[in-house]
Amino acid sequence: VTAHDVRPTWTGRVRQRSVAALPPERLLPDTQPVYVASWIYVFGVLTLAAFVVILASGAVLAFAGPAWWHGSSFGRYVNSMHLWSTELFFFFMVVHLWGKFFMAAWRGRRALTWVTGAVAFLVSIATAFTGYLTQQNLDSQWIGTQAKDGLNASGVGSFFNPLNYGQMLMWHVVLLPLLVALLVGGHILLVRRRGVCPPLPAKPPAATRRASTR
Amino acid sequence: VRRAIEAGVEPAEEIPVRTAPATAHDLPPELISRRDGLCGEAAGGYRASSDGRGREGSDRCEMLAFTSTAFPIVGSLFSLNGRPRYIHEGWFLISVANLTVILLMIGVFVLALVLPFPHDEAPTPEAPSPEVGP
Repeated sequence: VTAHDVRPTWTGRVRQRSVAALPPERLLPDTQPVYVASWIYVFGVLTLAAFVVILASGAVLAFAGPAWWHGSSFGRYVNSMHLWSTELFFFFMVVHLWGKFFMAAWRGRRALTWVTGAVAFLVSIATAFTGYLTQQNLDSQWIGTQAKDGLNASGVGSFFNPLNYGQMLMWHVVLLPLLVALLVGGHILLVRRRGVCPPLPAKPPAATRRASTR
Repeated sequence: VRRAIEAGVEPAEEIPVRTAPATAHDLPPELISRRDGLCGEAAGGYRASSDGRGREGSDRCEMLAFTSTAFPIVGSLFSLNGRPRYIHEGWFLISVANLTVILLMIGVFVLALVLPFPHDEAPTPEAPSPEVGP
């Protein structure tokens, strides 16, 4: 019996397909195209850096608990760090989104990259929303009451109750961050697979130019 | 309240009610005494209030006193403890804070397009893009 006669296991098939789709030199490249040397290409990784700070500060908050982050100065500091890293996360992500939108970054079979980024943006909004609901102050009560009316009107009120503090806390610290992390991870792998989208050409291609002058 | 009723006293008179400090007026005197030096008497800062319950001062001094006592490491440059301000014109309504963030994002976006990116002295070979095209 030779190695060719042995049918590979499912793990072997997954490895073969993964390496074929994303070889190591493309997953962790040595170089990048010259057009990446622009400030507008920096905001994706800035968003990712802010996301790491959010996860780290959130882990500290989850470890110590609400009494700590409300009642001690260092707890309030970490709580503030969690808030401001979220503000920066959205700030950088919006600039990243604008840059990619005006670049038509879905070109070159990058539609799924664009879609995962857009969905990650929407899920991030839901994650931040549940974070506001867990502040345990008048703001969170007001936001929760208003959101409850809106969600009831949309028909999903029986599944997603912003007035249920325990449910919102669990969604905020487990389910939604996991979903965001999966989407962001898939987004990055797709960027590696398809490559960073080049900027739009300064002049239209010759064929298009000829057609437009007729 | 139940214990007060059982003891035969009026709850409102016997039970102290504590609330979170909203301004420097509500802070304990020992905390206010550690206020920022900018709010001293020479700077027109605090003085005893007429009713003797606290101290009076400018809004900036209140903000400094509150941030420097509640958050001794970092005090905010802007008072975030007051009532938010809004811009309202007909159907258009937005808070000043949100408008500031939006304008900052637009500014950063434009700067990212026009500012030159620092380059290495040695030229970097152009790596081919895996799949480029419409």
